Amino acid sequence: MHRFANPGRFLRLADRLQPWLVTATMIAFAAGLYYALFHSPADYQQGETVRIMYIHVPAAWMALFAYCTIALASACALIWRHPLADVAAEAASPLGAGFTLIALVSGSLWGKPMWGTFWVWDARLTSFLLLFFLYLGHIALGQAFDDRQRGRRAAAILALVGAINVPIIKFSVDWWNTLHQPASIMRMGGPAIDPSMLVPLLLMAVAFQLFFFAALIARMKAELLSARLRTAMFNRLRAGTAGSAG
Amino acid sequence: MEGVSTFLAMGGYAAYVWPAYGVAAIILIAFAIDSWRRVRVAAADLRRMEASNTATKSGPAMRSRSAAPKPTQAATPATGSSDEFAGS
Amino acid sequence: MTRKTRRLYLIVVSLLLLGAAAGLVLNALSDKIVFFFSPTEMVTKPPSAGKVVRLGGLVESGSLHKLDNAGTISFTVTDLKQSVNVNYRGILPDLFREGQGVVVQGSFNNTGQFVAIDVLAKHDEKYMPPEVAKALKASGRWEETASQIGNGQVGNGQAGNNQVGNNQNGSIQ
Repeated sequence: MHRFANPGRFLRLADRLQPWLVTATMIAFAAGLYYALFHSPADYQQGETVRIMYIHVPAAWMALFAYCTIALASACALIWRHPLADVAAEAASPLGAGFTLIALVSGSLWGKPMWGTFWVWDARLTSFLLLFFLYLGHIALGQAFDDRQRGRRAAAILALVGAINVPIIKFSVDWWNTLHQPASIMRMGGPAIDPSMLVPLLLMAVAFQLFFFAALIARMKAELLSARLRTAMFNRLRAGTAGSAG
Repeated sequence: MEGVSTFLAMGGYAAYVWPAYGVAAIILIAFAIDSWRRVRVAAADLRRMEASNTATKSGPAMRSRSAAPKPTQAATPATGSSDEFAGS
Repeated sequence: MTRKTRRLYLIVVSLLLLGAAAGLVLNALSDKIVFFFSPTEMVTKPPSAGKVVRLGGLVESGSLHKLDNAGTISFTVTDLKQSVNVNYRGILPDLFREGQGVVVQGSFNNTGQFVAIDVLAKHDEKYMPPEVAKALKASGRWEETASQIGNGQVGNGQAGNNQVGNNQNGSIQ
């Protein structure tokens, strides 16, 4: 029964952690939005549209972070058959797809006034759209089999194969010439963003990160509880048929 | 009042800034509600199941299933989701 | 070797192989992924007239002027080595200005004049309030970033070498 010891401990830990996570998420969003909308200057080139960055960049970071989480969990699931890893990968996938969609839509709304176009097929934008399709494929594949375990295994393999797209997205702006500008924060020589704009950006990044963990834990908990319910029902059904037969 | 309308105008970029925040808000709030609802539904289902379990156990050990109303009631959803186990 | 270690090796090896395959494919495709060409590439290996290509660089300061009263404008795109003169009539993005990065889509006509059908602005990775920009310029600590011109030209010789001499690949299908 040691297989169930881990989920049990996870559920207890989740219950203790969750109120703090939810509170911290709300505080971070309140502070982040205050700085993003009220307490930060317009950009010298881009004017007020720079405020889209405080949504776009954290969402794009989290889209990549969620994918790395899924890839790591999938590796754990495939190699060590850890019972929580599959659940984590499955729970993170819709969240990652949501972050990717936010990044794509907000980027498009930023690109129109500044670049002059909603969309171009440059290396960065194309590889990011591919990430969205990888997420959709991962969600669909996980549910495509009658046997849950087989679906999860197929999804885990897709997640690992698709992980190659992550460095491609990150370095697309350095390897090829693109319309999208290079990285502003994670670059050699330090961030190229004024502190007055870095504060709201990092606050929003923290808020997105906390939101991801809170939602991930909730979805994992829901899945573990349903799994427990299914097992209980299965056992009762078996006991019931055994009882009526004997 | 003027401060509010200048703020809402976003330097003429209101049509881009606010939809960006709006889309993010809709998606994040939808995820928050959905995640919370999933936990509540799963926890409630499990509680109901466990409650009916203890009810069965507390009764006489070899009672006929049709005699007790509660287990029959709980067995109905069980048959519905049992096919999930058919493959595994 | 236990089953777990075997699975670990299997996954690590297949990921390495997959990564190598992806690397080879991307390397082979690297000049197809070029989004635009620099003025230097346009001058040394000009595309044939009428072929639609993208040209990227900085709008040369002082080069922007009106050509006629119908709204046609003319400006020069430069990578600080070579430059190409561009004529354009249409909507400009808000970020279009002299000294800023730009990507224009268009073609050379029969007289060798580049005529744009679409103009996109490219900006660098720097963000700051106007006062800070002003102060930096006043104190002489302002640095022009190379990123606006395109990675192929400045600071990233590897990528640049792949692109030179491959002028067909920047065309739009």
